[in-house]
Order: sequence, then structure tokens, then C-alpha cells
Amino acid sequence: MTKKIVLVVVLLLAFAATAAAQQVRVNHNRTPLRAEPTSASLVLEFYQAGSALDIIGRQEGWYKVRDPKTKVEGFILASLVDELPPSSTSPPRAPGQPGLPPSLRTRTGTQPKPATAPPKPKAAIRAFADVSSVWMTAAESFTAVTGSDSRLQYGGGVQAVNLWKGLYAEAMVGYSSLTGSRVFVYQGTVYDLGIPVTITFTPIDAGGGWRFPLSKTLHAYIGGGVEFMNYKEESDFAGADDDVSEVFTGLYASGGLEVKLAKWLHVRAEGRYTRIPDALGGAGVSADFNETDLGGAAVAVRLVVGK
Amino acid sequence: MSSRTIALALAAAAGLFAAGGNGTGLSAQARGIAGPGGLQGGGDAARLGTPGQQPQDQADEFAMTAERAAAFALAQRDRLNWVPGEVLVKFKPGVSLARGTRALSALRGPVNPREGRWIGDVLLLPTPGEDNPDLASGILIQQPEVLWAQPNYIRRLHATPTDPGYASQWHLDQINMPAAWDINAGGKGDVLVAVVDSGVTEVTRTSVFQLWTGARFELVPIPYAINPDIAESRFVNGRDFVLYSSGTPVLDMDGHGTHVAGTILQSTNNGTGFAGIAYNAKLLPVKVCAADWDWQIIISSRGIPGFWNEGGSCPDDAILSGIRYAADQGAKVINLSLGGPGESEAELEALRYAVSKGAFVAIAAGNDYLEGNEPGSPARYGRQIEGVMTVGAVGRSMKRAYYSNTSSGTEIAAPGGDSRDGGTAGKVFQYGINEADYDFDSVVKPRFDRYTTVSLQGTSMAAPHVAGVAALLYSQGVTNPAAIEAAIKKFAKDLGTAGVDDEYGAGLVDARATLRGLGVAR
Repeated sequence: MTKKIVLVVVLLLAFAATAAAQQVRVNHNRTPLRAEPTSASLVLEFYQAGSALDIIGRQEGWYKVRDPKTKVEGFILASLVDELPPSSTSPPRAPGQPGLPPSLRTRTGTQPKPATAPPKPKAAIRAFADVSSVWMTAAESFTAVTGSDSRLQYGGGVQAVNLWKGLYAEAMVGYSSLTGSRVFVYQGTVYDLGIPVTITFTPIDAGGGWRFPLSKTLHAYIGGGVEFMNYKEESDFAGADDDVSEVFTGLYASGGLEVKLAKWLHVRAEGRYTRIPDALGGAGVSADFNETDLGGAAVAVRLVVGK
Repeated sequence: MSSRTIALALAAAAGLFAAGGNGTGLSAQARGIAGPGGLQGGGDAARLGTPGQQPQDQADEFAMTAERAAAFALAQRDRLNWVPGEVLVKFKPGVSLARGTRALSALRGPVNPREGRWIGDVLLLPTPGEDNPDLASGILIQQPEVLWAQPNYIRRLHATPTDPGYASQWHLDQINMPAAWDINAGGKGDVLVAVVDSGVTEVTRTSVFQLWTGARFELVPIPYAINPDIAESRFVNGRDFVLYSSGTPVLDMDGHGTHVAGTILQSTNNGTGFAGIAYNAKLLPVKVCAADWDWQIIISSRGIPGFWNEGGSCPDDAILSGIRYAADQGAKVINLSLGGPGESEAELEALRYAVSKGAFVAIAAGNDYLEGNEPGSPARYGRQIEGVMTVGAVGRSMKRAYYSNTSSGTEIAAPGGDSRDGGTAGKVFQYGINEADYDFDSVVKPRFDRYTTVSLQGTSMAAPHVAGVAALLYSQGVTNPAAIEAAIKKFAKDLGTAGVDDEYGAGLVDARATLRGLGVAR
């Protein structure tokens, strides 16, 4: 353990030393780097104004320098450069370095990057599509009439993220439909009377929550809101007041993970629980089963488009 | 009565038939005999056949002996609720014939179980030494081998025959039938409904019977016809448990069974007659009640001069046989528009048997509200058995009919008609046998082949409304009798005191709501 710490310290010191190497900055274009400290000697390279070179020695009006990228060493006339203080943080300005591909240009300077805070995430509007499988709380009632206590819901909506730190807001409209038949239930036995029933759910959700970054591409979130459930139940041979079309209000809580698939594309896996009390149970089989809640538990997959 | 013997009863009956009248008139008051009095016994005088054929000696087909007919006559005259000289006995499980015979030896007089008739595991036993069955059954029930014993009760039909009329069938609107037919157009042909009643004529033919015509016996051709508003193909072989022994067709000589059957399943939308509720269901006519004309044929065929004129009757042994037969034949709905005072283990067991076989039973609550309103049987058993419903009657204004019993455990109400609530138009209408053709008070040679509008009222008319709805519900898949009862109650329109009450039970049956059932929220 101690050895590791020592090694890390040594490396850090070496890095610091490198970072602190004294440099000169070329202040004229086409400044020659010569093999010998004499104007007659061979030109090894030309540098543009602004190029930074490491000082490795001094000699009567000449600096002995090393190009930090090419490691070429040579002499440069002192009058054509300015010596930089050891802690200089001047950004490298060396466009047009001859013979170097653009990707290397940024390496002209070897100073550490300036210690600024990470960029503040910007607020963004997103659109999403949602597919949910909902297991309804009034399981016995829906099973009796439709044969199943679950329904598949399709929806879509908008989100505003990063409103303030991790805060987001969202609104969604969903749709789901079930078919079945009217029944009579006696001592737990369901008698199908063969009269078709169509049930539609059109929920409108409005809510929000908080997103927590877990990595560059992964967020967790938790939230909740209000659900306005437009519930319709229609059957054959219905009279004036026999069908149901009502809006019930409830609350939902949700949470999940958001994975960034691409710059503009995210996918969410969400769990959701909705409670809509006193929507059922006044009549119908829900009264027989004493089930009053129109909500349920859901798992959803959301495809989100936006930053 | 307790000291009377069957011989005395026979003598009394013979006297009854011979008594009074000068034999010249045809009215009830003038009826009597001009021929020799007394029993002539045997069956050689009875004739049965069709016109154009040589009448054959059919007397042995009659289930009723002269002695038994006389016992019934006595019971009718004295308004007894049981058949003198007969008991119904059920032995405990595992009791051998020898031990059973020992138990029966506790009775006075010679008793031989081999002379009785078994109806399932119930024995109909003649007790020649003791014609009061209350006493006889009281002795038998003390015996360790005997599970129960009771008189062979006589029940009566719960309708009040009334004038024909041509008013609309308000009673079908009252239970929401038009909307119910939208949901279920008359049920399905695989639902068998048994009308355990005075019979529903299941053949079109003319039978020749020996009848007393006021001065002498004559061979009288009597025409019968199937109700033109019930297709012959909808009849399933019925059974007569009072007039005939097995193998002969059911003939309604009262009109009651025909009216009841009409309400349950008469053809609808066929341009004929009136509407019935489950108009695709099949009909099993089971005859357990003998009307005046049945009795007249029996006594005349036995050579007993005179007119019966004692009214109809439905002995318990026939009811027990009829209910069991209906259930065994696969009836899913049984209508019992009959009853009477007292309790009857035989009826209770028959009802339990029917339900165990998957049959729902509708029973008329009784028409005795103004005559003591005593709880009757089998109506009293409706509340005891899930799948058996006792039906009270309402009139046009959805108020309890003036005659409808309230103390017999009424579970549901249905239109039975009420002449005090709208006059004749307030009765229940069906296509039935033309009453003028067989009016016992004015006709000597009846016919039962002409059909017309018949209006009746009674809990007898209410029960078939429930039976019809039950048949429709069965055809929609509610096959458990107890579930049918629960559904009819659940969807009834509450009347009278909120909730279940003695006048209306759960309320007025609502066919549409019952057949429509429930969704999730409504």
C-alpha cells in the first residue's frame, strides 16, 4: 500500500515538473530552429509566431530548445522569442504548425487544462412515447368482465428537464382499451352473459420529479403527479344511463432509469403506481367485489427524444 | 273423519254422486242423476279412442281407481287438505322391507307395503284401517324405522279463472320484456321447462269417453288440440300422474296449465295469440292436477252416475312424482303454480331433488291473503332452498295483488294480475283454451280444441313470469339454480318497504336488468 502511495506521489511530482518546464514563445513567423547557435547553421524547422518550445539551455543570445511534440532539439535566436515564466498558463496558440496534423495541434501546449467547473446542464424540452403494462388494483372486477386484470397502455407526452438542477416536469396522455362481456357473479363463479362490453381508459398525467446523474449516459429519476382518468364503459343493449363516461382524479408515483442512447435519444424504464380512489364500487361487479380503486401498478418503457 | 273407513268414504261418495237434482238440467244447480245410484266398479264402461275408430276399452289406463276417486270426492266435498286413507312414508336409510313392514304394522288394519307405490324412495301407502292420515302418519313417525310420514296432501291451483278479454299484455311490459328480448330473443331450444300443473295438451286428437250427460251415460267424443301458439315440435313427451297411467298423452282439461305454459314460452312474433317469455324453450308438460273434467271422466268411466263438480285437486303423490320426473327428464326450470296449507316433507324433498338435478323452481306464493293468509306449501320452502323461488303477485300499478299471500316467505314479485287494479284489463292475458267450451257449470259435452284470449289472475300467473325469465337466464349461461335465484333477486326492482319484505320479497322481477347483468362499474 505504501509503495503505491509513493509511486503515485512520484508520478504526480514528475507531472508537475513537466508542467512547470520553462518555455519560450516564438514571436515572429517563420522563426528558424537551427542545428547550431549560429545563423549560418542548418535550419531544422520553422515556427510560427506563438509556438511554445521548451528551454533546455542558454548560450549567448541563443536558447537551446526542444519542440515538445516532435522532440526535435536545436537553437533559436533569443531576440526572436520571449521567455515565458515557469507557471505560465497561456493557452497554446499555434495554428499552422507545419507538418503536423490538426489533431496534434492541440498538443502544442502541454500545460494542464484550466480548473473550471463542469458545464451547467441546460434546460431542454423533450417528447416521448410510452408503452405501459398496467396491473389494475380492481383485479377481480376486471378479470370477471374482461378476463384479465392487466391492460396495455400507449401514450405520449412532453418533458422539460433540468429546470433547476435535476428537476423535471412532464405531461402525458395515454390510451388503453379492453373488451369483455357483462357477467353475473355468484359465490365466486362468474357467469358470462354474452353481452359485449368495451372499456377505454384515457389518462392524462401531469407531474414532475428529480433526475440524478449516475454516469455520463445514465440517470435515475423519481417523481409523481396527478392523473385525470377518463373512464368509459360501453355495452350492447345499453339504455340512457347505462354506459359510463366519467373523469376520475388520482395520484401517481413513478421512478426509473434513463439511458442515453444518442445525443438526442434516451430510453426510460419506469415503474409507476397510480391510485384513483372511489372511482369504482358504486355498482357493477366492482360493488360485488368491493373494489373502488381505478388505479394500478405499471411498468413502462419510454422512448425520449430531446437533449 | 278419523273413524271413517274407506268403505264409508266410498259409500259417502256414492251418495254424493247420487244426491240431489232431478237430472234434467245442465246448470250446476240442476245437476244430478237420473240413473241408478251407487258404485258400479270396474272399468268396462270407459272408452277411449278417436272418431271413426272402434272405441277400445281404455279403462285400465286410468291411474285412478273408483275407490280412490271416491276418496278424492270426499276430500273435495269436506274441503280436506289430504286424501283420506293414504300416507306418504319415507324409511330411514338401510331399513329393509321386512323391518319396514314391521313398522307399518303399528297401524290399524291390514297394511302391506307391496300394495303401495314407490315414488323414488318415498312410499305412497293405502291405509285401509285408518283413513285419517294425520293419525296414521302420527303413528308411523313414532316408529324407529320411519324417517318421516305425512298425509298425501291435496294442493290446488293458484288461479282465479276469469272472463276472457282482449286487453294488452301489460304484464310483459311491467317486467321489461321488450328490452329483455333485445338481449335474449326467447332463449334457446335446449332449455327444457316443465310445467307441473293441470297439464298442457300435447296431442291434437279426439278421444271418446263415457260421460254422464244428465240422464244417462253416453260415449262422448271430446276433441283436444295443441295450442296453436306453441309449435308441436317444442313439446317434449309429458307425463300424466293423475288421470292416466304411463304412456298416454297429457291433456289439459282445466286451462290452467295451458295459461301458465303460455306465459312462460308461448310463441312470440308469429302473428298468433299472445307473447310468451322464453319462446324458444322446450316444454315438458307434467300433469299432477286433476280438474273437474278429469274427475268426471274417471267417475263416469267407472260407471258412477252424476256430476263431479267438486273442483280440481293436486295430490302430493302426483306432485312428488311430477317434480322428480321433470328433474329426471332434464328440465332446467320447473313451474309450480299450486299449493295448499300445511307442511309437506314430500314436497320439500322433491324440491331438493329437483335443485340437485340442476333445475330452478318457481312456486306461486298462494292466493289466500284474504282467507287467513296462512303460510302454504310448497311456497314456504322457497326461502329454505337456494334455487327455489316463491313468487308473489302484483297488479298493473305494481302494488301487491289483493289476494297474494304475504306470510309464506315471498321472495320475489311478478305480475299476477289484479282485477281490483284495472278490472279485466288488469289480469294476465294468454292464448288459452276457450273457457266457454268446457265451463263445467254449463257444458255437458266439453271440447278442448279451441283457443282464444284467456285472462286469469293469481300467484299462479306470477310464478311463470319468473320461470320464463329463469329459462332465458339459463340459456345465457347461468346454469346453477341458486345463481339464477340470486340474479333474479339482485336485479329486482325494490317495491314496498326498502329491501326484502314479506309483500314483495326482493321486489318486482326485472327481466332486462337480470339478463343484462353487470359490467365493471355499472
